[in-house]
Amino acid sequence: MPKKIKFESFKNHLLINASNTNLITDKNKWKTFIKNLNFKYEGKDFVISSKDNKELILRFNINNAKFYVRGDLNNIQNSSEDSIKIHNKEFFNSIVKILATEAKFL
Amino acid sequence: MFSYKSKLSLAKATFFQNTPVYVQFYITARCNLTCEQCNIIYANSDVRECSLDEIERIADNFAEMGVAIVLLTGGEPFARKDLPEIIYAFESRGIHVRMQTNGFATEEQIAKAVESGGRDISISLDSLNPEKQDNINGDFSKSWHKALNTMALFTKYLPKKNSFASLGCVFQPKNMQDIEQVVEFGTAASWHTSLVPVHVTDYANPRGFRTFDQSLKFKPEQYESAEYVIEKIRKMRNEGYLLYDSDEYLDNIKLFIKEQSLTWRRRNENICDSPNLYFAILPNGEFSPCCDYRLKNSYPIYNKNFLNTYKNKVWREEVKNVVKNCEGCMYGSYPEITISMRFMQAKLQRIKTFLTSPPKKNWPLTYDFLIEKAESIRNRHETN
Repeated sequence: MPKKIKFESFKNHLLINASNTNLITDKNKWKTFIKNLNFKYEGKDFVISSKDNKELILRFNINNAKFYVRGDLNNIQNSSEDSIKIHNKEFFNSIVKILATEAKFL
Repeated sequence: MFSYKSKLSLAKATFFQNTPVYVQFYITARCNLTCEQCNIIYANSDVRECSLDEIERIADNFAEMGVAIVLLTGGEPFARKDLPEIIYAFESRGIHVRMQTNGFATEEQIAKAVESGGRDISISLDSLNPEKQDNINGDFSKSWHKALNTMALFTKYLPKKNSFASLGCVFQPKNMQDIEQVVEFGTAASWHTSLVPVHVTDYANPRGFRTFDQSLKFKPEQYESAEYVIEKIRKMRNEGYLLYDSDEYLDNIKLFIKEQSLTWRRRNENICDSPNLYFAILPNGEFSPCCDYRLKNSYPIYNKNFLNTYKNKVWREEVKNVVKNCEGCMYGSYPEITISMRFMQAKLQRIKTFLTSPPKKNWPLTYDFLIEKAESIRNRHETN
């Protein structure tokens, strides 16, 4: 079955931001925790659960991330700042913070 | 095929390894397939795409920097409506364009791409078995047939002389018994084949291009068969079949699938040649060392001051701090460029491929001919 591109994009950027975060002190424990996460797509929600912690279930609206903004439709304002990238970075950093808090890393 | 300017840059890079001869430009993350081994369409989805104006300014900077070849990749590059204008922006400045497609380009798009100056195409083809290819492509039916149709169309529009056509083939457990057939098929159509072993990572170590699907990894019990295939196609190449990959690269594929240390970077302190010989551009025009890693800071290449940034020692240190920690990749072009620039045998092989003995092309080829050829090769191998 074809993969769901928004779901896969969401997963990828969550993992990248989780991997680059400076919030966590015990990096090895964090890595093990991340490796044991499960992800699901339910309705419009991206659902995170953990093999290590059955009580941990988090839901995020997938449409709060902005993906695949086209450049060939004359809708791009030339600018050195990519507001889409900045929005996504802040959004996924906030999710990583929630995840780390709920999993008691913070 | 290459402009005088591109040839000069390539010659300079051969001696000094300090000219960015090759750039991978991810002009879009959008794609109409979801190939199981590819993650880049998700990894590059979080940034906006460049406008044509910004791409023209990138081309201006490339002309000054001495970039010889730009690979227009994605996603699916033909998903961009302005692809012909993008090709022209680079070709008109003497920068050679390599186009890439998953095979979903229409005849009109192909005709326009060639009319705009595109002379170099790479199409993804992993098997001569249509069902298997459709499955690898994410279960999109008829995608194998579309790829062959696109091959036929390129042989119709590309000139026979001064053009280059290749098949990009991902080497993975699922298709390793088909690789020989793909090389044979490509040769019958005067297309080179180039292999990239499947790259797999895990959730705790995300990389731009690498899939998280652990089931795609080579298992120890498959190593021997995989090595056999590599040796078989090496022999085929030595007999005249059109396999693009160098000996050094094939040796490193064998190491890579067994998760052993790579050796192609050994003449540069075991780090790759980014950004000296190559680098990548994200869809939004920002510099990136490669498809797997990004820098923390943003450096748009369409800004005029990128020319100064590129020479800046502090910036180079920032790039080096990223690439020196990389375990190494086998994405084809990066290793092959390092090998071509740093190893004499590979250098001679490239000169032969592009300058002294390019393949004679029996083009144009029809879709029916390609289907028939693929079926006959597949049936013969199945009987044997």
